[in-house]
Amino acid sequence: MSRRAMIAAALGALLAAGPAPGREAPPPVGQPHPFALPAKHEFTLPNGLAVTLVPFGTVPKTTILVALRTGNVADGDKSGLADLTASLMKEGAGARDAEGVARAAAEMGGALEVGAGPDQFSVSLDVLAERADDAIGLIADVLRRPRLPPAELPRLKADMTRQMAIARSQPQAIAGEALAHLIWGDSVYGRTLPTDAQIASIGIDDVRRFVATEFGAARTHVYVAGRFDPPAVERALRAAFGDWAAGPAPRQGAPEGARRRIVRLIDRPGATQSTILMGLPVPTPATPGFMRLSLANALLGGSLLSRLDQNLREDKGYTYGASSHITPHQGVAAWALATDVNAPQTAAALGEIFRELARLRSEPAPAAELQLIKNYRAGTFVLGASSRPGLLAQLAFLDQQGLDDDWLTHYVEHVNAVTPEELRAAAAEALDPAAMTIVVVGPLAQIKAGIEALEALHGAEFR
Amino acid sequence: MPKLSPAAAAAALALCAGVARAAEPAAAAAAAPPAVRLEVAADYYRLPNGLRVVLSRDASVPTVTVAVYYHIGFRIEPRNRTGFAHLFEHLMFQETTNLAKGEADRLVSGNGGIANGSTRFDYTNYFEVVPSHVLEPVLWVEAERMRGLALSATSLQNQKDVVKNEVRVNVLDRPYGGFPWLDLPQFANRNWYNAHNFYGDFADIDGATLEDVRAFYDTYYVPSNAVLVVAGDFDAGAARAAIERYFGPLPTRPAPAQADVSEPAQHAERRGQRVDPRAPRPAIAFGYHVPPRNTPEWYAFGLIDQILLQGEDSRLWARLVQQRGYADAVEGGINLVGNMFDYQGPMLWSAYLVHDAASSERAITRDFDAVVEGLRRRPVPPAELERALTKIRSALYDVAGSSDRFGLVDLLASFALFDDDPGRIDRIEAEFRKVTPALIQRTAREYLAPASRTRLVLLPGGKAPQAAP
Repeated sequence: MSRRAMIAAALGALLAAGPAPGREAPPPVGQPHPFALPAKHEFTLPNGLAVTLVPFGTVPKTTILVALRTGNVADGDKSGLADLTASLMKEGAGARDAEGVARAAAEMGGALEVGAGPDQFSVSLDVLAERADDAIGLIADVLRRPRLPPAELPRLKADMTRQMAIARSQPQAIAGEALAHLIWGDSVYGRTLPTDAQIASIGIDDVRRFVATEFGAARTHVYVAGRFDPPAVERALRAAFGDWAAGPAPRQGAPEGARRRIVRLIDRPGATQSTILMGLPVPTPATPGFMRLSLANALLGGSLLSRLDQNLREDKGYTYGASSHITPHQGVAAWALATDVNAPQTAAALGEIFRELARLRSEPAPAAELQLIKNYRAGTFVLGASSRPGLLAQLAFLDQQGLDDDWLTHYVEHVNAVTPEELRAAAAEALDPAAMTIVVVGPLAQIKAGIEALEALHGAEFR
Repeated sequence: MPKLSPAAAAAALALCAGVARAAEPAAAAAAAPPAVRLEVAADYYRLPNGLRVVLSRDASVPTVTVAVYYHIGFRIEPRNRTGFAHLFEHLMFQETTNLAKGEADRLVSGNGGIANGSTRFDYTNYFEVVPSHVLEPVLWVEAERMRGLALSATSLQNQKDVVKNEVRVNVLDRPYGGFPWLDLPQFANRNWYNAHNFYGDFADIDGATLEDVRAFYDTYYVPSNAVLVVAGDFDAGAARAAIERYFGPLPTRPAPAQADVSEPAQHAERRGQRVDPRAPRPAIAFGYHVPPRNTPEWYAFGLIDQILLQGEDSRLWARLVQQRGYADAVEGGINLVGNMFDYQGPMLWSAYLVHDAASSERAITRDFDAVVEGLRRRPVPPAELERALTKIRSALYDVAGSSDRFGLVDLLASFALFDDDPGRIDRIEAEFRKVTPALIQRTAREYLAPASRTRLVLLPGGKAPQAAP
């Protein structure tokens, strides 16, 4: 019940346009205040475990994030194995049973999170600063000494089966699963929702093997941010992880993604809206010139002020929101555009989307419009770097993508350097609608004919 | 954004508070009150036209958060205009006397900020977080909104379409949409203000006119019915002067009369049922009326929420999730679209879960009751109470330390708007610390009685859509 449920990113425009005659103009902005990223302290233990400490913030809290370079990429044909492993690791570790783990975390003022993604596995805990050492001990227990009680596995598998059934009832998740599979095939990025059969096939030996073979110091990075005593935290980390085996090297992702025009229509009888999701693989953040593409995306669909929202929402009223995103994985990245539109206007909305893509790729953006996006990106960058979770996310992103500190320290300059023509050229190269896979989930009896008749989809392969 | 987000529900005890001063973090001595205490800088004053102003300075990050809270929420709206308070929130982002449609957003976002608004039980708010040097134009925008809404018929129609699409994506087309945040109050309450469809029936949304908009604006969007909060990195003298310059000239208007939102006492359990053709599994929600705000029992209830429901160390989690395996989580809290502080009126505490058809409503209710009865029969052990207090303290620090400061301004604004006392923020923790195990038990006996409960069941029905391969 907000004007917009999610603030994704943004652009804007009042600076350039003066007020109409007879109207009062807003006061001018002042001089920007200086902002510096907090200093970080980095070191690597002899076993290869990397550590980044960032003393930071005003309140006595500390966040510890342990990121391991593995994940569903190690599932094999048992999709969901990494997630089930993560769940079972919370069911007791070291001297504590499941309730003991939960209570210990709560007594530190935190809640233990263990989670798996396609190419990252993470354990995190956000606690009162005076308990940072204890939190490191608890995390080490969970990572190195999980009990993995077999008796709890059936319950966790039933939970996962239920979660997947719920996900498959949501049009956005249905569309996401279809798009991912069409682009990435059977690789890890193409398998978003494990099937009931895959979940059923997972046994305690699979989980034990995952823990035994996938974890180790050499593929692990520990990030600590907040108010804490760095020498004490360093001592605690060395005590907790110094004698951990190096284990295997970091896993690499990077399958080939498909750039091809396929249209997939999935029926959802009775739905009042159509979920549109379209995308394709794009260059990763480590690619030279990535910032140009990133700004092109921001201008198109990165904020409330972006062209998609201005057109589809504020002008046409077709939707509550339309946005586009770049999702970087390891070694590959995907761009996607998402919106849920009133069903009778599905074809019209797609037509507007294609028009906006064509405009983005053929016309350099007006300088004033581009400046507003740049301001937005610079401002929200500072905001993101000003919280513990935001800062840790940025640092982990840098490591995942193999970027150096320059990405952060000169971020604003890189943003400001992009010209309208560079932005257009980046969009022309990376965001070709003819190479996009398009998924629509909606009431097909009502929308199918209109979609098939779209000129922009002439000759497309419908599946 | 009352989407049914587990994260939002889990954070239901979003306390807030400002900067932790405090000496060295205490070495955690068990059961001893913490040596660290939150202190939020907060200047509070009123302009002659009645606008309440809270200034809270903290220059640790070069951003500033501005929020205007109006004392009008979705609880109170015209009877034939359900959903109007929320529709109106959308309209405040359209034309004003001096700003064309979209210009306010461009001014804020185009200068590096984030803007949004939200509609809740008893307030509607408009807020921005911007780089410090953009404070003055943002204050001007908020004053402009307060004095000069100039909505066109075209924009009204456009936002009706947008809002209906919001309801479609969040409720109508969404499995479990509106469960239980939108549904439960309709079964648990008897006073229309507390029991109607807050998102609005489409006929009512379609029926809204420019005259309705004008009347609502003139009644509720007046300085004497609002609070302005500025928090973050700013110069106090310059901010005061700018506030005087832009808000000072707004005319004095009477504050609106407050509607009677009181809820009659409940003497028997209430049951509700809803069929959701898109839901693949059944779900169940339990709701209880919480004690009146600001009473000792209400603080006790905040701790009861922690003990029973918040976190994986809670009693309901242990029984329903860990031991029985009914669900992968049990969620809920006091005020599912906010926190236990940012409302004024009757409120529900809710707990809910999605389960398999093989687990019966009866079995789940039996276990739920056993947990609740435990709290009513036996005093809470001191260590468990201390853990609940620790969770609250940790949440408090996070609200204070968050870089967007939205949680901080939410508490400051609520305490100014509803209690005329933003300084309360510094006393929250001490009020929780006064709560004894005996008070918790008494409160549980009175407010968690089976007869005071509403039980809502969601039944799956219909066919699932054909999923992709």
